[in-house]
Amino acid sequence: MTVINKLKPLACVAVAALASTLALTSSLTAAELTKFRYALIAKPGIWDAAVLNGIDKKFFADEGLELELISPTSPADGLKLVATGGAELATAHSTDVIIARSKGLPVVSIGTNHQTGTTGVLVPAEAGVKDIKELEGKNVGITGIPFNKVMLEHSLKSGGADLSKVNIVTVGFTQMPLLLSQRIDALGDAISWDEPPIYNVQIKKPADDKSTYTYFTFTDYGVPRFYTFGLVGDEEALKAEPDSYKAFLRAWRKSVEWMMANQADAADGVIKQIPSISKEEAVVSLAEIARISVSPETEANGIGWQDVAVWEKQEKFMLENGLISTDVDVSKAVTNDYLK
Amino acid sequence: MNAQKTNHASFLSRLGDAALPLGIVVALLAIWEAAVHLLQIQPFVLPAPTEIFKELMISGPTVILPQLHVTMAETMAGYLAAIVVAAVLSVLILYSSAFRRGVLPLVVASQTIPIITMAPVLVIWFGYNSLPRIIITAIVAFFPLTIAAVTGLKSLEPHFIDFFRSLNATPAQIFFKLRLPVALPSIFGGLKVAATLAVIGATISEWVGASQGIGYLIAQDTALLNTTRVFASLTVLGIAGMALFGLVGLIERLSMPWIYARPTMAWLRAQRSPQSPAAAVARPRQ
Repeated sequence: MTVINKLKPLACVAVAALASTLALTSSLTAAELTKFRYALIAKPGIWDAAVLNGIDKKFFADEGLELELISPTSPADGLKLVATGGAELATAHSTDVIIARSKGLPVVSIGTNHQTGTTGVLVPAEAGVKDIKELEGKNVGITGIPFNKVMLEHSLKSGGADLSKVNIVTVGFTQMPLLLSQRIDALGDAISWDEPPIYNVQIKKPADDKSTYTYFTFTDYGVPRFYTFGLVGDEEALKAEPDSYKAFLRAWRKSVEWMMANQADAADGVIKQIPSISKEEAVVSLAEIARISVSPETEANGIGWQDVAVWEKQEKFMLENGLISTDVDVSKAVTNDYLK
Repeated sequence: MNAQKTNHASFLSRLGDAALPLGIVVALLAIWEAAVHLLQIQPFVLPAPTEIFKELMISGPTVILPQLHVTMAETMAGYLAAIVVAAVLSVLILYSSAFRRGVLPLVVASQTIPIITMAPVLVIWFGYNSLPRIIITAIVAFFPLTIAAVTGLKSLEPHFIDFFRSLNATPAQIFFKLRLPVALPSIFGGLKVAATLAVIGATISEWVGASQGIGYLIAQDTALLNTTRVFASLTVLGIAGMALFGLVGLIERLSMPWIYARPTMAWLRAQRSPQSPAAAVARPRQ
């Protein structure tokens, strides 16, 4: 008892010293990390697997970055945040970057998640639609995203369908329940890594079963190849803090590569943070995302690489179809400099 | 000559009444315009009022007004449906305590559900047409109407009913000649609130499952970073909402002359010369 009493002050000093050391260490760690506000495209989802796992695996912390994730209410909000200094970086669709540039927002894409857009029409197999032309007389539900509607109409025309005979209805993001309840016959702007596995799981089929549906990818019908989700920063901020952006991209590339190599673990990492996501769907989605994250260009230049010529063709397509009213100098909207 | 002076004074008084709110609106717009220019706020964040006005001139007749036509049709259909539902509910709540205890909590609960979450479900139930949007509008609008009607109908002092009963009035006579007139100010209060909510309900409903309407246009323009036209659409929507509110106010004035009747000129003259025989005529009912 006496010994314990004698040791008490010593223990108190030891505990205090330990606490001070821990506090000092943690404050030093916090001080060393640069806060980096990163706006996702919307609420977090499977498409954020690389970043969510990268944070968990400390890939960003290893580069001296502490990511603060922001979930905007609409996809265009991330770009507004970046342009007004509310975030350092945002995930944005290439279409939105071109539209933003046409409106004078000084945003620049510094890397792309997916090497090609896979948007297309998903029709349940039992509808018996073998050709896009056979969508005549069908109700095709679309989200209302302007670019997607343009791509759908272009594809239908290219495929020989009479547009006036296809009932294109804007249903927002309720497409899947409407399809399952047969209120619509097809999803007019599905994404290959999203809706197909969800549809299969809903109809109690294996998530990767491709026999349950027919999929018409828009790029097979004359729509030029386009990039989808990219990493977008502000012109001035990029010039002011190039090292931070390069550090982010190094960590991001590492995260994407890890995600591609460990898809099941990456799915678990996402589910840990978003428990509502089904594992079966997540694994199939990630396999497809991994497939479209690479291309001959990334083989040569690394993950995230963008070809300005792809952007130029997309800009021309958007201008021709009235999505933008002025020509956009794409060379200012895209750079690979921060990937180097 | 006196009548001319009175008219002149009345005109100046009315001008003064109108000038103050107009002045406040102009001052607020001037501050807004100045702030946008001085703080160099980008148009995609907040467009200047002059830019919104220009956009109204360009897009108003060709783009916004046709969409407004759709939204207002849905608004009116939903609003009228809300009035019918509220009328039935309020009478049932008034006369049936079982109904009141059973249904009123459900009515209150219906207002705690974020309506935007109901919109997709209604589209699935009723299909891709204007019915889900009319239902959403009605759901948003019926609650203040019901509460206002019930409050108004219950506000009657019991001795008035006793008095009517002593005159052998039937229940229908008590309702239509006593309860309803007494409840009208409260009912019109509810109708005014519901009018603005109906516009909001119709617009929100167009965010899901619509291919036309102001709500749809706003969603499209938001996606295309067309912020100036979003504000122009909101301006038009605001004016439409004010017009509907004003229309209900006008009906209110016409429905309750015992409250809103203006003093007639004869009555005013009588007020100035109490000895005049005119003092006995044309006095508005109080």
